[in-house]
Amino acid sequence: MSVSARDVQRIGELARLHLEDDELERLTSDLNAILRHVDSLRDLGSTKRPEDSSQIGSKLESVSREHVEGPDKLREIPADFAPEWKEGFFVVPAPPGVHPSGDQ
Amino acid sequence: MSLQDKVLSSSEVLNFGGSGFRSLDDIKELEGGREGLNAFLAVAEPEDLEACGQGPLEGVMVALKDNICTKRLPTTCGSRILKGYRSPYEATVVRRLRRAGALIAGKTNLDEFGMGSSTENSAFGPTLNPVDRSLVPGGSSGGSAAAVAAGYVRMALGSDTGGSVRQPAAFCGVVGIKPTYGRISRYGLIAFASSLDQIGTIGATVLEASLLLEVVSGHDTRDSTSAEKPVPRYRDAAVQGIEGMVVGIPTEYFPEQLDPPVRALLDDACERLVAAGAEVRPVSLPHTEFAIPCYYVLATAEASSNLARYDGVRFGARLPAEGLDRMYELTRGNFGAEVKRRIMLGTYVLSSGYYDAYYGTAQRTRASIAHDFTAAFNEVDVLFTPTSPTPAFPLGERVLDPVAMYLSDVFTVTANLAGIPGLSVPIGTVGGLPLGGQLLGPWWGESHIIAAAGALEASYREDT
Repeated sequence: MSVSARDVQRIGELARLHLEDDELERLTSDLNAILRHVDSLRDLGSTKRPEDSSQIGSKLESVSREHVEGPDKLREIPADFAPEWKEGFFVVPAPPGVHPSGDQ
Repeated sequence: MSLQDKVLSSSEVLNFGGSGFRSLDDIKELEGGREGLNAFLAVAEPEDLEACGQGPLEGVMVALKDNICTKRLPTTCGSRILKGYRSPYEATVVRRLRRAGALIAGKTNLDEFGMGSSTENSAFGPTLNPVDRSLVPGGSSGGSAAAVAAGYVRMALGSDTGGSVRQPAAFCGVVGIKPTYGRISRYGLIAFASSLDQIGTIGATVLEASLLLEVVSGHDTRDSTSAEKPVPRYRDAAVQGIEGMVVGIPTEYFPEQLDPPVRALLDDACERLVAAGAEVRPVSLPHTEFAIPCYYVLATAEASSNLARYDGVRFGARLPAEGLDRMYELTRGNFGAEVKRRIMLGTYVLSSGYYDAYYGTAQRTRASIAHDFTAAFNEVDVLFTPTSPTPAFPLGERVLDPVAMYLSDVFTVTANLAGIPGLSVPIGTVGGLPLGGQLLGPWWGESHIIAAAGALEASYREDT
């Protein structure tokens, strides 16, 4: 797989990195060189003892418990700790400068 | 009485190996002079020394890699984005050092956020190798390794995400230990790749690196990945001998491309292990060839997430700009070229459409690499390999070629991927430059690799 300068620009936006033109050119070249090397990983599944990975995968067990749905504790308004309650939300003081109704 | 029966005093530790003690003024003078190595980013002032314990390191100067949080000294990670940053808290290892009586001599140079293999990626200039100042000291803990090799301090802490303690130790001719993942608390270690990062120790001798390991190891409730396992007396392991130990030689770590002088030194080290009472036999770790691509997918993916916090709001020196997005981008423009490269690669491999092809495959490969080690350690007690394919290389040689630089780590990244302990010990010189031999052990098998390294060190000491 390879990346174009436009791809690199987009990745930069996702990573919140502003790239100058010379950086963009250099990074496109560097990332393609690295990706060529990294692409050897993709050979692993087809050529290199794929049975090892699958065997290990079958032995791994998640340590997380099964998700079990319980009663929704907030179905009733918890008046003891949330005296103000509106349409399913807690009502809290508005930050300074913000109209309490939410109007701009 | 043998060494293992003794409780070592600080003066004995300081003098073990023959080199003398240096004061803070000595370090400042050496670093500030023409022969300075740029090993330290900050040297402590006398008023910063606040040892409180009377433990095994009483009065011993220890240097810290500058990605370990200290309250009295800045913590920069070798980055412009953290220039002048002072942590509001200190790392668990720092508290343990002070409890043991150690004095924090200063903070050492590193590749920015630990990303590099030469300490050339520091925003504050490269560190020079004290063996030959035209060469790199290795990295990313190059400042710590150079400080020990130059005799500024006898012990230092580094961090090892893909070989960053062991490779610089090898390049500078000192001893470096990366323990099992979870052995040392990472609380206060600024994260690069959290599933791979581990604090490690560097010492002028196996005994000193082992004693330092013993002092900073142990469970810490502030790090949920630290293990609740008792800490053995590693200093005893350094002198216990290896009679009957079975040492595996992984064929994949001895490729035909190894330079003949390098291979000759490795062969000689194997013979010394046998002479010390060990049995040596070949083993195979078949997924080794995939270790570098696997590592650089996982490490960069984690780095892109960990370094998102440097945005000028949560962390990082904010640069003023019109609008929030522009401020983020300007602030993050303070990252150096290698950090940007890794953030970009990590963002790419985690992006929609490429996640399973890269990150998912790398995770499965990581499990296969760990499985290789499990199988090998069913047959042998430790593994012996080169630490690096070559001795130290010239400054500037690989800094513009990221793939060549990444391949410097080819023999060290597997220990981080599997989480096993590794140690580099000097095994002689090639063309006057130190070469390191690496010992890898099973999970929590630090004592085994320390014993093997101690036996090798004793054998070389007999030569002199």
